[in-house]
Amino acid sequence: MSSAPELTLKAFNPADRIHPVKGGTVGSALPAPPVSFQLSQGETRISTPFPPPAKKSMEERLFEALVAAKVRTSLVAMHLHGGVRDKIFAQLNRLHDADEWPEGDEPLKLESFKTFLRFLLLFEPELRPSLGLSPDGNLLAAWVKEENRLMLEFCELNRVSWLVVREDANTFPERGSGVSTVDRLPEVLAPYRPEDWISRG
Amino acid sequence: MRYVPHTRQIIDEDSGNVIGIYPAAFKLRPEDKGALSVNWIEFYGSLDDESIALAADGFRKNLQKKKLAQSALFALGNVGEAKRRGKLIRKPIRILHEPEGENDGHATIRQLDDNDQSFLDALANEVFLDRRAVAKLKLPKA
Amino acid sequence: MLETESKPVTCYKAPPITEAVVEMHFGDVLSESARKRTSGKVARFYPTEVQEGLINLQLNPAARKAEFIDEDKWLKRATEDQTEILLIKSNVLTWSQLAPYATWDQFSERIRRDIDVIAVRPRRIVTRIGMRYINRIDIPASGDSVGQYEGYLQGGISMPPIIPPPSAYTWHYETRHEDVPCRSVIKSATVIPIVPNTNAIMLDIDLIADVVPARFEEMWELLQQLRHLKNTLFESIITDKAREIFSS
Repeated sequence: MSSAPELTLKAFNPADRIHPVKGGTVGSALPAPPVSFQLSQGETRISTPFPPPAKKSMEERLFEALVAAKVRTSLVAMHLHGGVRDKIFAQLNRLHDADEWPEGDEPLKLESFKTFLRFLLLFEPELRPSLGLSPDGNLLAAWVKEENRLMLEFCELNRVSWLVVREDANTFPERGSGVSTVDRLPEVLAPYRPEDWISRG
Repeated sequence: MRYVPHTRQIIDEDSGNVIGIYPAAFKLRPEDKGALSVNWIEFYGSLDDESIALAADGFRKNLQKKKLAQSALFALGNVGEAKRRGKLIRKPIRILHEPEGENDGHATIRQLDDNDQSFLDALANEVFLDRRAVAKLKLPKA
Repeated sequence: MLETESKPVTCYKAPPITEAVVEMHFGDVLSESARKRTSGKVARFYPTEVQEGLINLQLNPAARKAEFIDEDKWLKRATEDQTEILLIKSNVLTWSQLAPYATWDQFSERIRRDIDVIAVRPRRIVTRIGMRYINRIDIPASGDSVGQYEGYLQGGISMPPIIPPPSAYTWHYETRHEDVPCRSVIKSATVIPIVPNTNAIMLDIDLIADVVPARFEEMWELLQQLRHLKNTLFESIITDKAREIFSS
């Protein structure tokens, strides 16, 4: 039997993947949040994942951004069909090529990618977009059909910056742009009939 | 001409062709201090492949790694047309020749309202329409 | 249908599994260099490698003492898409499969393959095996309360009717099984929803066998039994209403 002090559970976050009782259960491969234990002699022990090095190379940062996005995708993978996941990953891999990386740019921000995933789950676009990255790490998506284009920039907190250019026959190009939440996008884009681009019809 | 890395290109995933440029390609970064970097092709001579290559080389010389990404492209646009578009929406821009570091042909677009997505898109997809892939440029040896 | 030797297991169109884990504890301890060599042996299956670990900060405010203690370090190997993971620790190997989860056959084949490649047997003695399946059930949202969880899970907290339905909950249940020599830890809780227009509850089934046969094939058979038990527990806890969600 161990002579280590008795650990009393003081904090349990239902969202934790690792049960805080030592030696009790099977671990998880996913990163765990810090967990606090109250030790019986009035001491507190905080167990936290290995801290990252102070300065990382760009290759490391690109790799970590990709890993974070792919792990996040796994949480909703059961709702993504038709090879969508593989196609998104292929584009993300291409965007994060270390040899081609633009100087001064930031890798994909996880918060931006979360907004993109929410968009995919809400709208399930039939035609997949071309993906890009803004200099500060926001994911960009575009649907282009001849002169018509729909472009989205996915920001944190479910915000989306949108731009539509629509040129019907014999008219000048009509433009609209704005910032909205993902959930409101159908309403704000409706006058521009985005289904003409993102559906197969 | 404006340098456009692969992250700001709209690519048809089936054909691999560039079918557009994101407005973000013309967005200002804090280090730009309100002046969007471009290169003035005619500084190097008449508007031909050789001048374009020299202008690209000028841009390369100012990069930290002195290396252009093979997947990048330069988007060429007409100064007069860019200014006309700015006037059209009552947001006149200025395009100035401002040599910087080893880039003698460096120029800037000033007074650019980069919160105006529509204007950035017009620059990206209606003004800077001539696109030259870095991989196809005959650059002088670095 | 529940799996026995003769009946097939239920396969859902959108299984709620977010992570499946199999873990083996060993009697011996691997040095850092030995872990590195083990990692090299599986590199062709898991192209990415990252070092991870846990650090403890022990605080004693009364004595004004603070101390950092390295708890453990390990190597994490993963496929490009980050769904197949192998953790190589000093005395533990952990196989993790993130969603999309295909089948037990595929998962167990990977484990067996790695065991053969790493040459676990006959040198290393397994002292404990564990299996854990973490599920997230995305319940269509209607109203603010998550009291509806009771319609999706059979186990739960029984409160007097006078107390309104919960807006959040957590429960934890441990027991020992006789038919399969192991203990189980079953947990459920409300979690932050990820899928729009849903409320989310977690169902976490964890099985641990502390007495492991010495012969590898018998140990492997025990693992299969844990898996059958896990399926039985899962199918007995979820309701038909939950099955409808996984099948759509």
